Amino acid sequence: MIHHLIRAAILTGFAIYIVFLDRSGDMLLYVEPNMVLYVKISALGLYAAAIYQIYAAIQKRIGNTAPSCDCEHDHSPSVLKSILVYGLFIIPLLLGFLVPSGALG
Amino acid sequence: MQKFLFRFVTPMLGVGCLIMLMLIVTQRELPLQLFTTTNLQTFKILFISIILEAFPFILLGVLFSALLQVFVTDEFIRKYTPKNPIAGVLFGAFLGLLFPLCECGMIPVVRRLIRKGMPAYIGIVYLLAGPIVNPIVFTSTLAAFRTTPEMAYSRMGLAFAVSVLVGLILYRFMRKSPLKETSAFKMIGHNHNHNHNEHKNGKGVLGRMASILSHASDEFFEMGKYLIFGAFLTAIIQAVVDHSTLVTFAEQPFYSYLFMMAFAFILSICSTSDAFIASSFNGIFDFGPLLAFLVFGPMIDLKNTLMLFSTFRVKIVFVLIALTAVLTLIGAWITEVLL
Repeated sequence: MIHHLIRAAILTGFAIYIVFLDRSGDMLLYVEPNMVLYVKISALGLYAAAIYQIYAAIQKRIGNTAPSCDCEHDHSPSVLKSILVYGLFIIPLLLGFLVPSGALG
Repeated sequence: MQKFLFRFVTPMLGVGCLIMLMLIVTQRELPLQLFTTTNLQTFKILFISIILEAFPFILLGVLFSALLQVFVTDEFIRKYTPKNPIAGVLFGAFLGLLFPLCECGMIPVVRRLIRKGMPAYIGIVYLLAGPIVNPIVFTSTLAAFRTTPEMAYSRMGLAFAVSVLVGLILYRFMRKSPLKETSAFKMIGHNHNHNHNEHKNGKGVLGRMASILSHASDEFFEMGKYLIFGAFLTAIIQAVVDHSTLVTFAEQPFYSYLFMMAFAFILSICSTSDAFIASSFNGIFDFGPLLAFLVFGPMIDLKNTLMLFSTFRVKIVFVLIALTAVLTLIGAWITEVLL
């Protein structure tokens, strides 16, 4: 369940970051002008996935294991490995939100 | 925890010591100037822009492959597989147009297809061509190389040629089944359909929706980690390594190909997003090495090789890697000369 929640948080984080970039007008610093629309749409996709993850977490919480198919993807390999993987996803978010943006050096 | 310490920390300490030794031997200062604000900014912008621009394509790929895994049965594909070898090889090469799976989702699918009766050489052609010769990858390459659309076309063409050649060679010389006999049920990706038929049928549309979303978001994390790691390495290389060093490397005709191919192998990025990494090297490297990067990377890379070893016999994997590497090198070089 904790995995679903972490995933939901990461997905939401990316979606919010895209919105944040768009609102602050920094989007064009990172994305080619004609890709902007697609990046915005992908924020919607990220939201949808995040909502699904929360739904899955709730399902698991109330003891209904049905929604996630436990095939192929090892959900809980080891604590350290998942910390590494999720850490990898969090790096760009931290970098994006915390480091002030500036022009290309 | 202890196992982790022994396994990773000791080698890392070793690497650290080696770097220190190198600095002592060459009598340099600690390269602290690498961590300046300009470098950090360059790093940040490259890193995030690679990730953001790849997002739409990775999501599209993930969604498509989830749709496939839920809706299309293997029987359907097997029924329409041609018997004639040449038609079969062409069929394998174009299968990616119909089923644009990314290479990450490819190996379990191919293994299942071969086991269910598709001729092995066709399966391998699909394994090689599928991640490149498909509409999603074509669009993303076009988007990444907007000023040089030839890149997208020659990427498709070369990938097609290489995979067809490999397929024909395998058809001629491969006699035994390429699959490992022992690993029947042990590893990555067992049969998805079986799972869905058992669990999902009772739930109708909602159940299917849920399993599509579940596959899609799982796969997003599976592939996203390679993308982010790749973007991280690329951004570090471009921010820290001196521009002139890369340029001298890029000017060596032969080594620039090898460098880009080795780079593609190590990065293991998804084929839907690697064009953005390649295009960030545009201007430093020539057309040919970038093409080699774009064609070789999706076909053979580190994570993919690990998966191949767990599925196919060792000899076949080595033959496959060697053949693909040589053919890609020659092909990319010829394309560069011709264009």
